[in-house]
Amino acid sequence: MSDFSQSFTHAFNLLLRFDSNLWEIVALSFRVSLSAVMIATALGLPIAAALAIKKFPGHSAVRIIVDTLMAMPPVVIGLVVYLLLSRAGPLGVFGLLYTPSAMIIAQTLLITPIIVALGLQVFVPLWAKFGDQFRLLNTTTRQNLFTLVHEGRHQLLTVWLAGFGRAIAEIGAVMMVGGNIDHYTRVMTTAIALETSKGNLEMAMALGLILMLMALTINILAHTFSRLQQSSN
Amino acid sequence: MSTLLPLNLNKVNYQIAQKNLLDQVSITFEAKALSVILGANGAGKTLLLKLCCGLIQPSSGQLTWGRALSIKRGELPPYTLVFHKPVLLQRSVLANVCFALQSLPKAQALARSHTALNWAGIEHLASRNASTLSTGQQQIVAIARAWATAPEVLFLDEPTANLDPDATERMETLIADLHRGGTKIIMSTHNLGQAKRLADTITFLDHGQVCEQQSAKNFFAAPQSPVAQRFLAVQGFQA
Repeated sequence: MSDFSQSFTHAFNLLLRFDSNLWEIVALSFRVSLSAVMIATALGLPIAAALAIKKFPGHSAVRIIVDTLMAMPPVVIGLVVYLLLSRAGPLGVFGLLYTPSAMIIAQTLLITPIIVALGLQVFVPLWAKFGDQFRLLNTTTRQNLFTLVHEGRHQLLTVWLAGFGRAIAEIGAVMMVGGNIDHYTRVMTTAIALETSKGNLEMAMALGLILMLMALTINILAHTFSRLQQSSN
Repeated sequence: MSTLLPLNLNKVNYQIAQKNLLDQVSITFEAKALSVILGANGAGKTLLLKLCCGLIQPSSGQLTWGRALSIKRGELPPYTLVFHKPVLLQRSVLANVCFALQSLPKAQALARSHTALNWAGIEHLASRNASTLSTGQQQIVAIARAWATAPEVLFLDEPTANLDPDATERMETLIADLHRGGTKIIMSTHNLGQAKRLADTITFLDHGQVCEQQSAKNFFAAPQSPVAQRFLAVQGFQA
């Protein structure tokens, strides 16, 4: 127990001292996960809106695929990205393996299905409410998309936060395609695993604290947006 | 430009799960007359209006307008429908009306929206968020938005179904004003008093079938079908 409290105190010191190693890892984690969630949102929301608006042959199959991809284990995504980016792979020529870009690609693949599936839950009821009105006004697909996003903005922020939370807490895929290289591809989750195995519990604990604080902040924000949405309905 | 009316429906069926929700509907909506579609709940009034607006397609039969319609994407059709439950965006009243006018230049859309709100007597609500309004006010915003699009034909689906007497009176005044202004009104209701006040012609529907279509005066004086006679009698309207 005293080990635990000692580690906890040291962890706090590391945080308060603004330890450069620690904050470098935190900054890279944010850069990678924010980039991934931005790309996943840009890809996922139009797909979700299109699935909500358009009915086409194979529509149900696409939804099943999206749901399946949402449950895909990160290590499998890591493996796929690894195979794609490795020297012998189809994208090996770009030399992206073991770079932050590879980690962004892996996280994007991981969270895009989540954004699509959760986005659908926002767009489907909105389309049921507004679809006929939009058709009467003969609005364009682009106008419909922007209006749906605007109408569901509070719920979509919650979707965005869920995606970000999933990305930043992920370890399997980023470990496989990033390689956990010091000062280059080391992020919070991979660093926690490494520092724990090395017995450097202070560093692991400090990073764990930051992750927990972030989870708390994300949940508070999600609740706030959810309440905002309810109060505006 | 030739006139959009009459609107002809010829042996129109609308089927779901092999059940005819609209059954061999053959009616004509002529220009000028304010047409009211009467019938009990489930008679097919809303389906008929949605079908006329192109929101649903007939399973069989033909629907033809007085002139061929070719509406490009983004252009406003020459008709619109005000739903029984107002459908408004979570933004200001003014923005809701402007939203319907996206095909116009912004300044023109804004000016037209202000005129529409003035026409409906709700200019003072322009900056209010539409979701904070009462149902009656929301329905008036919906009709102001419809007015702004200057439709040749306006379909109204039970526009006063959930409104109190004051709001109902206000709505009826606006509907009558639109009719006087030359807009063809085709509305559904099961409020007989309202039908008697507003209608020139009545189409009576029962279980998806047209039981009769005649002038309001004749309908209320001597309904022809037993089901219409019963409908009037139940609501205290004896022929």
